[in-house]
Amino acid sequence: MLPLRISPVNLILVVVAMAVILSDFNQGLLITVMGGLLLDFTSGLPDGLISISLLVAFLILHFIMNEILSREPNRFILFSAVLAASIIYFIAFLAVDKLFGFIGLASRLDIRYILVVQLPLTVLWNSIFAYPIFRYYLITQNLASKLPTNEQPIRSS
Amino acid sequence: MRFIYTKTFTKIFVIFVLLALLVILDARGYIGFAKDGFSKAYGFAATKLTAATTSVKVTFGTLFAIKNLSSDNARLNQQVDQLAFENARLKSAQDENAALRRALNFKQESSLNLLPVELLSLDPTGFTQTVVIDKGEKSNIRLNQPIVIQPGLLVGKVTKVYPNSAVATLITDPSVVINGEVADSGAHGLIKGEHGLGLSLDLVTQNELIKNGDEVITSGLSGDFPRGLLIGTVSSIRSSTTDLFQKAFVAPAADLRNLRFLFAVQ
Repeated sequence: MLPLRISPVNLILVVVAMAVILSDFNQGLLITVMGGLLLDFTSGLPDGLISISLLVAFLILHFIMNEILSREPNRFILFSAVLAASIIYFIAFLAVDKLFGFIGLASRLDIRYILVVQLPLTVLWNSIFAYPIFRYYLITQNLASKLPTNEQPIRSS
Repeated sequence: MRFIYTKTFTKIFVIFVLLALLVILDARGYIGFAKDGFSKAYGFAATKLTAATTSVKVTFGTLFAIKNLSSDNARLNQQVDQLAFENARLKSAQDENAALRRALNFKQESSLNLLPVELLSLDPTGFTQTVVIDKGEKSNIRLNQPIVIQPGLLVGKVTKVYPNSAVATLITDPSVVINGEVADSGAHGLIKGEHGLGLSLDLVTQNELIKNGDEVITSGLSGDFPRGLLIGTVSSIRSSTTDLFQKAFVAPAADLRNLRFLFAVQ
């Protein structure tokens, strides 16, 4: 039986998926790189492995959402984005790990376990947390838009 | 305009180059100090946050636990009596053992030389079972050093060392393989992690006896771990007489979800 433990949830991946839908490219890129570095530094994996995997997932998802799909986001797109981000991230992660293997940095990962147990659990928990994070993301975006900026008003002569 | 001449491509390219540089610098061990600083800051923030959430959790947990207090108290009293009896019996056995050792002129077992370390963070990715500890090369932490909880419950081993911090892989990670021994019967086997869910004891020959509740300790055969560290207890046996080897599940003795103060075996 599949153990329903919550540990495989990846909230940063959910935030990255939200950034693809709700933020512009630069902001999404920044969130992805910062989130990736945070996970890299706190994990026992070689540095850069998660950052690169997240970045690849972000770029592919951004391309699909903006160049192929090009639609106003709705709840279906929101959950589809989280699902797609999770799957792309896992595939990218395993591919990057293989690449790291060529320079002697491969981790001793159990690929079967990752694909059979961890991926379904991550998809499940990420989908459950997608909506609360979506609401939180919108609140922070609204608050950020109310903050004063350094832009000076244009004076008419 | 072709994509490679756009600003977007330049940004992506620069980020990939910087990440490649990070990979190389990490592999060469040049960013140890930066990671130390990050680990300390992250550990500090995580500890404060955990302390704040724990107080809320405990408050609500107490409310739910009240209804079970009476039955828990009776059960624990019974357990105390049982353990007191067992403790007395073991004390007697220990004294007898010490006397026999002296009589036979055996070398007294040396106590472990322990260095206290504190846990800074747990691996949040779920791909590996690792923790970051607050002492590193400068405190004489070395690769493959065992990490225990006092008084000798095995937790894991050091797999990466930075100047002021280190990464330890827990015994529940499948990359850690330990030569184990069943304390009662002396059966030997290999202990391997089951992705944070527990441990498996494998390659135990069919002529050796293992049963539920048996304690499993490190055998000291591989040289990585000193003999006698408690790994866990056998929780279920999964093998039939037709199998070449016996296999059992082992529940770790240490509570690996609530680690804080640990010891590195020097």
